[in-house]
Amino acid sequence: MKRQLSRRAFIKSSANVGAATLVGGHLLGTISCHPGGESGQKPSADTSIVAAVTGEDRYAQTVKAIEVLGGMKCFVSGGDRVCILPNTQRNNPGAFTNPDIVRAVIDLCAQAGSERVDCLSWLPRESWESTGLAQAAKGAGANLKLVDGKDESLFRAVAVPRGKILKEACLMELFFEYDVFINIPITKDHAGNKFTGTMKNLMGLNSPRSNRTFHTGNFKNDNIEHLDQCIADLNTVVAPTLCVVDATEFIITNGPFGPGKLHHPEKVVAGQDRVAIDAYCASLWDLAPKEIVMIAAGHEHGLGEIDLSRKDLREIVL
Amino acid sequence: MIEWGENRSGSPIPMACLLIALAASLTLCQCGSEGVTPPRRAVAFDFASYLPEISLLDQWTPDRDPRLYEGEDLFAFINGGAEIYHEYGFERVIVQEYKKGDGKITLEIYEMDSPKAAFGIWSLKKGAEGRRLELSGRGVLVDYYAHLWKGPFLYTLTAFDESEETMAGLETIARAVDAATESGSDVPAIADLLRVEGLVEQSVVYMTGPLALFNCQRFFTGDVFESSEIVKGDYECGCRVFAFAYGDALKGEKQFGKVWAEFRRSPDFSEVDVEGGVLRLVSAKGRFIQFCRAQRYLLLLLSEGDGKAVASLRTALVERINAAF
Repeated sequence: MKRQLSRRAFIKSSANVGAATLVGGHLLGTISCHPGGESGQKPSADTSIVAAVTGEDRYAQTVKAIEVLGGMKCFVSGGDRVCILPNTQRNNPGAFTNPDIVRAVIDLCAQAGSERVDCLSWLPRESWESTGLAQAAKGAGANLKLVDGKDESLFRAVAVPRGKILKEACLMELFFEYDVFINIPITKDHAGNKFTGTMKNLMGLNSPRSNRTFHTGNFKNDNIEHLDQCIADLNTVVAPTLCVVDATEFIITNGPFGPGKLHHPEKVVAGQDRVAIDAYCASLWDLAPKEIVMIAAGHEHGLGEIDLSRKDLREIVL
Repeated sequence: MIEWGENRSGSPIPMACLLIALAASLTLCQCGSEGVTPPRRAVAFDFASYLPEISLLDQWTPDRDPRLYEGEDLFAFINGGAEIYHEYGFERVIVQEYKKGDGKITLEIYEMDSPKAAFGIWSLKKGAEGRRLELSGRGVLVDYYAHLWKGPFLYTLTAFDESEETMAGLETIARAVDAATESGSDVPAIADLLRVEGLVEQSVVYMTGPLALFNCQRFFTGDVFESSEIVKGDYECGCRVFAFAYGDALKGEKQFGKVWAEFRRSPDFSEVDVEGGVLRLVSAKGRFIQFCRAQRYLLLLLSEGDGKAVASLRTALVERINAAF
């Protein structure tokens, strides 16, 4: 019953704010259409906060970061179906989300009363197993839902009305079954556009065929502005309820696959503002957020704040 | 949809099926054979011709079947990171894991469409740091990984711990793949253009498109230089040089005008002056740029200062290029 209410609440709130472009708003936690937000079942999270917790214990850092945001109950209610999206790129050091961070998120969801937590991915099982993420997820009671990325029938075409380049996304059909979406990328170097974090990780929900259109031509004349604008456009229709970013140890060369030079900020970063989180993570290895086209484009779309001085940045050392 | 334990269509081509066609005479038969899915190739792939002799590996043994990804299937292996390989000219990659005790090493053999392409991706991947490996090909060990270039191949080896034994194993496998590859190749001619006094040899990167350039240095986000042969080198004076090649001097001159106009248009650069065909700029980060043309090449010098050393380097490079013509 709650879900139906949430869906109606989404439609109502979407109409009110003109944000009807957000996909499956019942599961996508924007400020205006947070599940349960209107029914008062969740305490509201402070969206201005970006929490960055430094330490050595990834699990404890994650718990602390989410606690700083108000706790997982701000994002997950009893009975919610939760979808999580870690980055399982490759088992090379610093190229995939630390399994302890994922484990902590799953545990916190369970403690908040989630009905179930599923990891959603079209990457092969091998990627999940070789990174230890499959074992971590299963051990914490989550389910691994692997979708064949080549089977177009498993994806749903979604219009991107605000897209400057991307006019249609193609999201996993399964994605529409959830109430809450938690994005858990690792931030790192990326050969395609220099930086990856929360916004680019959403390509993991979009079909490989659609992702291919983010690149122009035949790779001999690829265009970074085109790629990054498509990523920002995709983000206008998918808004994570919560982002938890692994910025503990990551590659700053040869990304996203590695092996590459490792950087060790030892931080877990969490919040709801994707642009601000990406801007913060870029700054951890001296990248200027405004020079990352994707971050600037996300800001232009109104997805978040690029100027960190306008955010409530809570840096904590455990 | 696939749940735990199911097979996946579009999986890489597994060794086990190929062994049926290859017959038991192959030495690779000692590999395992789990995870069998039907091969998409009509003709069996000869992994043995790519992989090193097991007898040379000091008891490092294959941990599982080797895998093969060809053409755009590279995305199945390197999701989101395949573009750069394709920009250089990617043919196929063979992946083989090795183990010895608790140690684990992964070998990736990237076959590119030419030795130049392999040199390029090698020069980009290895970075400017690391220890040179004594091999007939060019190998560099950086922290826990090594990159080796020989002929049309880039060999990438990754150790999953940095114990003495595993790192020794990494070098052993590097030597074995080096021995298994018949011959090396010359460095692309454009890379020689930068060879004037003060060049830090290990800093040379050969690029064939805008993506590699963007990974090396951000000037523009689009393909403003429109060059398919670019080389970068760092110098002891602190200067970084880029040379962009074009078909002939006329094409070079035309492109020079286009890039010049883009620099002037961009808010990221301020023009200082123009003298003797050299455009001098300052980037938003306060770095000095000298931009000029020599024959069919465009030269761009990037430095923290704009002193005599940079001017001398530019003169030396222009003289070297002119001498070559």
